[in-house]
Amino acid sequence: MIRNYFKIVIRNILRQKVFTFLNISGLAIGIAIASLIMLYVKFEWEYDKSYPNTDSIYRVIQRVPGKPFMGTEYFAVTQEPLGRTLKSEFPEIVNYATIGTWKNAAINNSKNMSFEENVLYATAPNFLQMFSIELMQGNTNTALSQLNTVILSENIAKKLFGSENPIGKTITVIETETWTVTGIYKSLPANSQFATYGLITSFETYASGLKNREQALSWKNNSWYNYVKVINGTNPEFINARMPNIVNKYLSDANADIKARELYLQPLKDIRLYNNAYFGMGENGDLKTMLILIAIAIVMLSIASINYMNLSTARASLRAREVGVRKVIGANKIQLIAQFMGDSVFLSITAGIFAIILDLFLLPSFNQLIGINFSSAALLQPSFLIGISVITLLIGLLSGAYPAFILSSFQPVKVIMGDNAKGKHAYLRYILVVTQFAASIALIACTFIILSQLNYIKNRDMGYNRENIVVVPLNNNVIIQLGPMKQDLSQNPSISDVTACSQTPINIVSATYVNIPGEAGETKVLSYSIDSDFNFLQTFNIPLVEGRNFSKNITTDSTNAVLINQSLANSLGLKNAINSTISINNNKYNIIGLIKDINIHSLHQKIEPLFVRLNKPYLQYLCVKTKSGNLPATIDFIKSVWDRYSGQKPFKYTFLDSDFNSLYKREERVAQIVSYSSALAIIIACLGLLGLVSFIVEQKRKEIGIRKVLGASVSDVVGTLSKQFLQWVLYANIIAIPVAYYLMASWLQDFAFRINISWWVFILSGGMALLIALITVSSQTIKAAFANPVKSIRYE
Amino acid sequence: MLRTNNLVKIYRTEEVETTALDNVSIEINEGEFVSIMGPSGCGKSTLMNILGMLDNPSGGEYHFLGKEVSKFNERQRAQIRKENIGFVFQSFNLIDELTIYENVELPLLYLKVSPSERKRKVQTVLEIMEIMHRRNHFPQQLSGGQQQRVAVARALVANPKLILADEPTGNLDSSHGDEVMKMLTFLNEGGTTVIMVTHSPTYAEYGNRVIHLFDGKVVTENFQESFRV
Ligand SMILES: Nc1ncnc2c1ncn2[C@@H]1O[C@H](COP(=O)(O)OP(=O)(O)OP(=O)(O)O)[C@@H](O)[C@H]1O
Ligand SMILES: [Mg+2]
Repeated sequence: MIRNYFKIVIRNILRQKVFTFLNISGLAIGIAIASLIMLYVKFEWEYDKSYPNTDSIYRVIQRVPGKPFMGTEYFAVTQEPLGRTLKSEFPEIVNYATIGTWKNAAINNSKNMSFEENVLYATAPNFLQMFSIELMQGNTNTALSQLNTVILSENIAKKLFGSENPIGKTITVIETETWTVTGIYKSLPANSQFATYGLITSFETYASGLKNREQALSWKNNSWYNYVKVINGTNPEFINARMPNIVNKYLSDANADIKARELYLQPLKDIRLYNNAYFGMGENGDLKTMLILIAIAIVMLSIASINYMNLSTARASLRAREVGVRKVIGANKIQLIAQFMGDSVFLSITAGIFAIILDLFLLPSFNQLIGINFSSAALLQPSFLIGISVITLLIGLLSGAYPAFILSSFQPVKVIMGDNAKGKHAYLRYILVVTQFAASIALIACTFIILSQLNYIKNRDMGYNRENIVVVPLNNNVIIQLGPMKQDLSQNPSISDVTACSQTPINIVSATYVNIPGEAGETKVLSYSIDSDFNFLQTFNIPLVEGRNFSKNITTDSTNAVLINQSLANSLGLKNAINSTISINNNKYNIIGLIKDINIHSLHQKIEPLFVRLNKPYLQYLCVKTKSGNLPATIDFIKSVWDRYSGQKPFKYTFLDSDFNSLYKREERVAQIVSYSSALAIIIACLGLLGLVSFIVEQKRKEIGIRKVLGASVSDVVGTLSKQFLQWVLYANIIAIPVAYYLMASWLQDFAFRINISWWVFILSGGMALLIALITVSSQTIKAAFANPVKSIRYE
Repeated sequence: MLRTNNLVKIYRTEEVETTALDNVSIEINEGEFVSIMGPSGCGKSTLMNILGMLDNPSGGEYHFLGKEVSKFNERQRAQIRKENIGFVFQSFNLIDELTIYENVELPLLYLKVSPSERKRKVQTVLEIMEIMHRRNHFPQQLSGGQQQRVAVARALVANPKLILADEPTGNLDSSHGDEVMKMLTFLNEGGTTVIMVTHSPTYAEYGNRVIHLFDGKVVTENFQESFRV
């Protein structure tokens, strides 16, 4: 019996090749895309959750009330004594780790080859215990107990020492420190915030080299991370409630601003996705993006399953007669249900297998898109395979259930006498198609809106020039010789301006308080700051509204002159800013010029106060404005000058406009994922429509024949048939527009500068869907309309 | 009314080539009632389809109302067809999703007849065919004979000059068959030319002439009227 069913399954597949192909491929594409997305979502969701004690580990963060910076009042950095103090004050806290990071440290291995690696220093062995870092060689408790020892991750050990055993060997850090390798630890999973750090040394090793040790390790310095482990099941709110006492006790001599700060425990597992604390160790994930992705995965999967169900049920209804015959011969209901279920599940599993194969092909491009390196092994891991199997099974059973129960309950007489069972139950199908198209149209509309917002961001006048500017990170050697170096650079006619600055204008992160000295009531304004060299305004074409730029001929400019922007002048309430005096960190400055308000952050943020002053020690970037044309030669020239002054330091550079674009990496990523998905969604929806149309046209073959015999022209027939399908797409539009509008309006909320959603987006996306559907539908209806009617009415 | 000259129709499939019509030359005048008879597979339906311009011959000439139509394209044929010809089939070929009324109305829609005119015409034929009371029913709810009456009603609603009926009684019992034949005779008496394929010698007798086909060839033409004289 099973063989008989199986034969029928295979024969049906072969008999309806195109149909089966459409059916399987639609589902396979849907599952493939949804599963890739879920792979990524899972990665983000499980961020920092792989440690055995994840649930009882917290990071201490602080809130600075009323002083938002980069859009938040919460900061991840705290004081060095905090960790051990919390442990001694709170019995619930059983362990602490104080951590610092050092990115891109210059490391030389024993063969004197140079590397740039991220170093993490922590109160060991607390840190190793708290995060259960497993040493493959060396001893957790003692590995870092001596000064100037280091443990390496497995990967870094391989990178630095190849196949040799690194234990006991030394590495040189920033050419001065020598550290001995005392342990190797198992590399952390890529989705943990410490994964990008391959070397761990003790906090003491790091602190022993600090010039200003006492200040750095005091309650006044917020530049460390503190993690604590609590007794299992402790409610962090109990600890949070007692935090103000700590602040009062240890910061009793601090000023009111500092006393107003609040400390909180933030669960480790929330850091990646729910984080709102600035200056964190790792890159933040984004919950909103995750939700968008999950929504897309669900939409893709639903579109694909709807397809599958529609096509399967349509296909099954062709078998009404077979069912009738089987019943007459003696098949019972259970057998028939099993047969249809089996058929449907067989095909959906086939689709699932294709989906996995498709995923393997898509993985490299997907990795590129999201910037994570999943190996193909990730696709074959049990949880992933189980997930796909469950989904395929569900879709198979669900799509099998409908024909199984409906068809098997037909009365055989009716079916055999040709009582047309085909046309009934079609409403569900129409509703499903409408839903499918609504989702596709909404996705297309979202794509257009996201792309036009990105386009707007990239083309908006930020108030300064970012084209043709080469940015070179500086080091101490170069800063000392900045004058002669700038001189040398300006010899080249392709270089029009050179300046140095602490930060380029694209995203300014340092800020400090500014006030008007001697004023009663002391209005303090938090202002972003740039420390620069001469030529800053010229290089970036930042317009002066009033006053003058810095001048080399006026010696006081280097010590107490400042340029401020209009926002800062407004916030300080300065009507006549020029020649007024302001106080920055208790130093007085004379305002010599008022600069136009330029955007100094991504367009998520409003324009905020800014001042620019000359301040050599803090310069970090050399910015070279070049004339367009022959850029490679100009860069070679900059490198040759660099080599003259840098003392062997490697020459690195970026372009300001690409730095600028990388501010919108996340949006770019969302845009790409949404646009690919919407393209695929409409393709899948059209595959479904194609299948359904060909099915319905097949059913209506006779009707079409009769109509033609009665005088219908080809265009009459195409019109009659297509009208109905296109109606569905129109209904879909009605559903899609408000949904897309609502979603996009809330997405745009995150931008301080944003486009208005215009009606043409909806006309365009609806029109596109209609056009694509029209092409799909008419490819079938035209064929049917041209068919010779004699053939279709002949063998009724 | 129509005249064919050496009509040939050849069907080609992958394996075989069937000559369904082999040099058929016939002439049918206005007002005639012609029956076509012959064994199964002899080409009767093929001939009807060509006469009804549903299909083009592979060779030969076909003059319809003075025009050589055998090389006409689909559009031109459709135009002549809907203005002049009504069809009745063995398997009624009604559209299941449309009511009786709507089925009968269909040819008028394609002829772009005005709504009021349509209503009048449809009602008239439904009354003639005595199925007015079933006009809001669907085909599946009617007996075979009633369905065929609807099909006849549909064939004549546009007042065609020619009615082609391919085994109109084939699926009906004798009493229903008689009814349909009475209708066709009635129409013919009103001046409509009727060509009918039948297996029944009795029904063939309703015609004024029988054309016999065998293996795609015309065997004899039997002018009954001349016998009667
Ligand atoms: N579309 C087709 N393709 C191939 N052969 C065909 C086609 N239509 C008809 N034939 C063949 O042409 C011959 C004549 O067929 P036709 O339908 O005209 O016969 P008929 O006289 O109407 O038969 P019946 O009395 O059974 O209806 C037959 O041999 C048939 O098999
Ligand atoms: Mg026939």
